[in-house]
Amino acid sequence: MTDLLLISFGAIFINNFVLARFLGICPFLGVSKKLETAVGMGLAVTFVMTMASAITYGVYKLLVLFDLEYLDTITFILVIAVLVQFVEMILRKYSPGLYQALGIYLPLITTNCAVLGVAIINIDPSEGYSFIQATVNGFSGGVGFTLAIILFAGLRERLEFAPLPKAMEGFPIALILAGLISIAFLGFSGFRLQALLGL
Amino acid sequence: MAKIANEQLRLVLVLTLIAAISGGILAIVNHFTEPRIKELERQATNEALALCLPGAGDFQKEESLPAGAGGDVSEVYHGFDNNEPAGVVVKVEPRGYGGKVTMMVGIAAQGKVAGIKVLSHSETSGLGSKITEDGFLQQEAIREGGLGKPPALKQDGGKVEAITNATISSRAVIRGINQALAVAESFFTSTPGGPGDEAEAERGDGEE
Amino acid sequence: MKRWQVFTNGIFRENPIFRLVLGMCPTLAISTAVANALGMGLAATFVLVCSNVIISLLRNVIPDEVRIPCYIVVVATFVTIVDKVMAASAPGLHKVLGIFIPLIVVNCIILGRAEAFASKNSVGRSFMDGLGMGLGFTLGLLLLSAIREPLGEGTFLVAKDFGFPGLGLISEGNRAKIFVMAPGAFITLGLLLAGINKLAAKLTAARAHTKKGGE
Repeated sequence: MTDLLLISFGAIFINNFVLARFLGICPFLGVSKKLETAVGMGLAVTFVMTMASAITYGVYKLLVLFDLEYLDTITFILVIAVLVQFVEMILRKYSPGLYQALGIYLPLITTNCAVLGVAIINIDPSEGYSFIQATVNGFSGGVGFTLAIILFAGLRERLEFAPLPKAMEGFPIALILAGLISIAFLGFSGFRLQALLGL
Repeated sequence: MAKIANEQLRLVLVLTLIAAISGGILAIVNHFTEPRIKELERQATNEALALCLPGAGDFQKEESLPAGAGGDVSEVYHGFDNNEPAGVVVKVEPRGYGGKVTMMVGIAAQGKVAGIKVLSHSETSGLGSKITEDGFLQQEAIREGGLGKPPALKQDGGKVEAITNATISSRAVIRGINQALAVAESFFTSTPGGPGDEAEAERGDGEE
Repeated sequence: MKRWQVFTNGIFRENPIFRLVLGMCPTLAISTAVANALGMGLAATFVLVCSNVIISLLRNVIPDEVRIPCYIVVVATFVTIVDKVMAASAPGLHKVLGIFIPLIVVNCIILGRAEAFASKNSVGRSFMDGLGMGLGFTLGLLLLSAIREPLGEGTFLVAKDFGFPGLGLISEGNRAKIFVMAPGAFITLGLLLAGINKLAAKLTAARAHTKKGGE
């Protein structure tokens, strides 16, 4: 149980997928102008990352069984693409409300590197994750993404009213803002969760 | 109706064909690169082993970890010099500031630390990353370490000078060394002069 | 547009990093050293050129409905080739770039060019477009890393795989580590983008001015 807690804390705060590992920067910069859409994107990414972690972990075990590890990247990205399509179809059919909220973000998620990224990190032999650990890592990575994008969108909404030099408008100031949030998150890296838990 | 079915068949066929061709190409590429990658990995391991235990000519991997090995121990190798046991090299992965510090520690048959190599780490560049440098690893207090003489940081009552502003990274390395020493001890039970219990106790402290 | 223009378009007018702001993940992550930037840039260029050519060749064969999965398979194939070849020839670089090599698959530049250019243009033009975009991406990475490496590590052009120790530029106590850490990546790129925006605006204004003067 503590190992899951450590993985989860690490993926959300210490090695935040966006702010420390640079995964999922495109949607982070692209879909963060409004808080509302940022929340939607965050939830959709969390959902897909959790599912993708569980499925790609199983698929990789299958590849290893047939000595086809070299096909991992190509298989993972296809599995993710199919998964995203599938989730979209299910949502549209059974939960129109949720589909309305998340639907427009789903197609963008196939090319979100946080999803493929977590699938690859999960099979890293030096991490040696189990199925449960991999799934928790995927879910926490998604939560970390959501946290980062929500903080970022909140700040960007306020930034709209700030007087800026023309050259700084748009991406430049957004990147600097992301840098400042990233500095704040650096503070977590010295956090000794093990010590707090009395380990 | 037949036309629609035909059209769908075409979609599936094209996609399958492209996937099959790419699978075939990758199988060929893999066939040529795989042996080379394996060889490079083996070379890198051997180089690190030789660096950690300079006296030994060839190495044999221990199939299973000794009972009671610390939680950070991942692999154990026996070193031989002309078929004479020359010591052991232990691969340990203590947690540092930024993540796992993967390192190898060689312990010569006399029970002294013979060499240390940090293989990979994710410590802060410029601070914790100095654990790979000779200025830290080659200091007297670590070089003198061995069975019965577990190295410890000054902060923890020992003699090892920690890297400035990187106590956690330094402590991780020391913890790795002590776990390696504990493994070595379980192999050289007949080593002279070993109040090894002390090493055991020290290790416990290091782990909090 | 002439072929030459197709080529230069990717380097200047539509530079993927500075003008299109695509492919940000690898840009931010691996621009800590010039050697890493060069390795990543060339790997991405190879994938971009190859996938552009193949997709352009197959543009009349691939049905519209399944084009995205087909593109993904083509791109992933070349990415895996790069991954394996790099692991077998430059293991140090391969280890540093790590996860960002397989992640070239989801680099928006590559799928973006496949969809926007290669699927509509001839093989020759697609080749030039891939090469231009790839070099534009590489140049962007080089520029960013040429700022971050000296300021953060104090060295320049360190290349361990080739046994080059690099040039020591800044002494130990005067380095600003933040530049090679995560926040430094965001902030350096932000300032660089602002500078380039300013420059582009000036150039456009100057061009408009000379045009007016000529009339």
